[in-house]
Amino acid sequence: MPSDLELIGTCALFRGLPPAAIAELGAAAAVERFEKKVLLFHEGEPARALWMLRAGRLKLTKLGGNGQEIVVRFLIPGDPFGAIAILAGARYPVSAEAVEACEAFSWTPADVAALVERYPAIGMNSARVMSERMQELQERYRELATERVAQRVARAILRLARQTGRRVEGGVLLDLPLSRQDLAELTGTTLFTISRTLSEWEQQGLVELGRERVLIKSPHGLVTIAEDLPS
Amino acid sequence: MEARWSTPIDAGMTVEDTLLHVPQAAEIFLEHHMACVGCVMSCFDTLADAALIYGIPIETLLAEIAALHESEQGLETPS
Repeated sequence: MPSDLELIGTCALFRGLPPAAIAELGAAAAVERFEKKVLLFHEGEPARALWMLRAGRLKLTKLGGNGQEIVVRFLIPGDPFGAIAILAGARYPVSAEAVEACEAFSWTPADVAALVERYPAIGMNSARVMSERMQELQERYRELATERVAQRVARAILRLARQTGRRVEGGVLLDLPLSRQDLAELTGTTLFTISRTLSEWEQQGLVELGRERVLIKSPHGLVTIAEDLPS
Repeated sequence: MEARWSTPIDAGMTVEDTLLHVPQAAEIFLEHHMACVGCVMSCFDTLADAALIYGIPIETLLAEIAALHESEQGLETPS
């Protein structure tokens, strides 16, 4: 388990900063705790802080006009979010919800502005993070526009496995508290389609489903679907 | 450069680590029509897993990577 300062040092926004800067970030950070399902902030709210997840898991979501929630991404400890607070007067473009009990560091926009001024690398790092997330969204947009649902679901599961999964006896375990509804929102499909797709894969021995966990028994099988490879 | 070759390549090594230590192994994967290069699961699957999936004897795969390793070392060894 890394220390708080080690965790802050691994954050993509603060990579490459000298130890003195990391210590300064640690000293300026407030730690807040949130129970499962609590919203840390709402989409459209003034961005009152820049955040970094310290423990637990959370999801960033957007609400559609018809009230349907879209999951933008899941976050794990060390991930920054609400980085829009770096810009003065900005509003959060998404909501952040704890999918399990969470702890997060937060920095006020004034603290962030002072730090960016002293350590310009934070500005470059944030441009890099934005650019990576933009590329990921472009990729997902392409998937939505051009791929079959099964391909998108396979890709989403593999992406989450790559980010948060671990190798266990019998496969790769994804024990993110991930409901079928979450997967539907993440891949732009319906709960019914997700349930049908996962059940088919379970029958084929590709995955084993549990409560809020997916064991990928055949990573290659899912890759074959995701990449549309000859099986 | 020498340190790159210091890790022995064995059946239990992940595909990702193999490609990190012996980038030229990509050639061998491609020759066998294996989709390992750029695979999102390469950090989890071992060479043994990959060989099994594609029906290639693991000894063959390891021997081919080792041969490449040796020929590269030969090139890098000063005369």
